Amino acid sequence: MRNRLKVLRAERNWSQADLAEALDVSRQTINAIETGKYDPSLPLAFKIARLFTLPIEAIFIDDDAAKEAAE
Amino acid sequence: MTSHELRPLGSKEGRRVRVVRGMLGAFALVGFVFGVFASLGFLPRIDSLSSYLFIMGPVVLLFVIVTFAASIWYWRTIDELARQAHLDAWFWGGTAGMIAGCFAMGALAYLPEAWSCWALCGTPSSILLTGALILGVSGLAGYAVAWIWFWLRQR
Repeated sequence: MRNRLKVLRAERNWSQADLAEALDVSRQTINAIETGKYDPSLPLAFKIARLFTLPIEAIFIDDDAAKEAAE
Repeated sequence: MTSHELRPLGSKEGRRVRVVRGMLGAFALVGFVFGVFASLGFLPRIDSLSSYLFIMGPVVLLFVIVTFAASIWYWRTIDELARQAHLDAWFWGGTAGMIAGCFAMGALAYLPEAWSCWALCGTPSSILLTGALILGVSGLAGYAVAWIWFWLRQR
């Protein structure tokens, strides 16, 4: 699953460490999510959405749904 | 941070993680020292079964309770990626390691005669302990490899 976390973080000029501290996770977790190596749990995804004050689907992109919509 | 203020949603638990890791390390050290003393014969032998159960029962129970409590505390302090690393490591590394250990135990039966006594000439209980040791060590070794592999993949 792709996501816009890195872009959203950069727009706000937050470092990975800043975001990690705000979400109470490690910097490695933020890096793993940003690079698409790890999909966060639903509670963490909601926490991220709350922090950015955006809906989850504005941050995480469901590739399957996008593919189905295109067909 | 300029236009957007970052609102912390939780508190850092780094200190608690360090405390629990320190406790687990201390347990491992105590166990190691205890084992060294026991193997050198510095600890008195307990000959009566009732005395043994009376002394060792509470000691084992205490260690189980404290270790379990520390593990729960540790689990609650780590984040979900670190938990996933442990879960992946236990499933893939632990099970693969134990399966390898099972094959290793089977292979012991076919050791050349000069070597077979190493594992198979003891009392039934010592053979049983050798098997348990092989399973435990192989499971832990597999776990360690899988855990390291998980974190290397995140780099």
